[in-house]
Amino acid sequence: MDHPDPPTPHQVSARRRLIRGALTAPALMTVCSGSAFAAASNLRCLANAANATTPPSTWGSSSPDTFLRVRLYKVTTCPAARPGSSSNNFSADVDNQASNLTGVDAKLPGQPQTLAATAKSTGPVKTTTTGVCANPVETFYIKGSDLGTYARSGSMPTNLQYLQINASTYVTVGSPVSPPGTTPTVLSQGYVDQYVALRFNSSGEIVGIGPPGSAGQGGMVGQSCWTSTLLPGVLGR
Amino acid sequence: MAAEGQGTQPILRVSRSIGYILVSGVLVEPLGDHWAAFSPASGESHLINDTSAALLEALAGQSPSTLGQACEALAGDLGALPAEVDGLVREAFDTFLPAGLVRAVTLPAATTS
Repeated sequence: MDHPDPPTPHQVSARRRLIRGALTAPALMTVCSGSAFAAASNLRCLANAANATTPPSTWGSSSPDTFLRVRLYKVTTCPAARPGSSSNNFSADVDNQASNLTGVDAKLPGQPQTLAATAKSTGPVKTTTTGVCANPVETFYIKGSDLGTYARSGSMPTNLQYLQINASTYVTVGSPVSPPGTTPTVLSQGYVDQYVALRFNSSGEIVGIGPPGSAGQGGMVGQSCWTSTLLPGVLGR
Repeated sequence: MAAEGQGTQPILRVSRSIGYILVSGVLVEPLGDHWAAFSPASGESHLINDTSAALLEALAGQSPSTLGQACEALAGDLGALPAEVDGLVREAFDTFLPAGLVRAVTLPAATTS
């Protein structure tokens, strides 16, 4: 009854639709576009991850940030023995002397590093036949060589350096360092299915991790977040 | 509206020096029982009701309308008194402005006096 004539976009008048005597409050509801909504929501998980240690206010910078996904590199080491101790953290089902390992490619099952090279520097090694370390330490890094040829600030590792990420606090640890050497003993190392978001500035330089904030702040990002955050062919590696 | 210009309500006097006009390029199309309005200024689309759409239509002229003129236009369509729709129009402008559907312009002094 509001449309006595078949309406067309050019014929319909809002003023004619008004019912005389009926005062209705004006209403306006903003309709989010799909792409804008997706862009807002898919970065939410990234913000949430970072917000574990980063105040929310640091997110939402007006600077044109772009993110690069970089896979974390985990290095598992066995700390050296405490001074005065005759053994290190390897458990001792069977005692072996370092000399027994020297010159032998004593790779642990599936491990790329040999104990032979490290046994010399850590002294006598008590190890089981399976080489289980009593207190292995897992350390996460960003490998500078994974950053390709992108320009980077001084806080980012060079191609020959690693930058440690604290798996508990989700922030960077110290300055870029050299790759783990022979001390402590490297039990294993390799990429894991965890990623961090490296942030570019408007000049295309990698300047930090995660959302804008103080130096070193940022968050590790879960795979599900990356799946929703990264648009094919736009971000990521 | 009857109180306008009496000097006891400075807010109304300030409002009279402001005109409102539809932002250029705004599209308003019927969508079921409502209306879809797109603002090129904000890049957003909005779902609005008949009252809002009618007010936008009233502001689609070549020259800005004052608050009083907008009230008169809407009141005429509703068969009401301008004073009765004053609150509705103010409420509408409060949402139209940030939505990029309407922009406010300062009217020449001769128009505001």
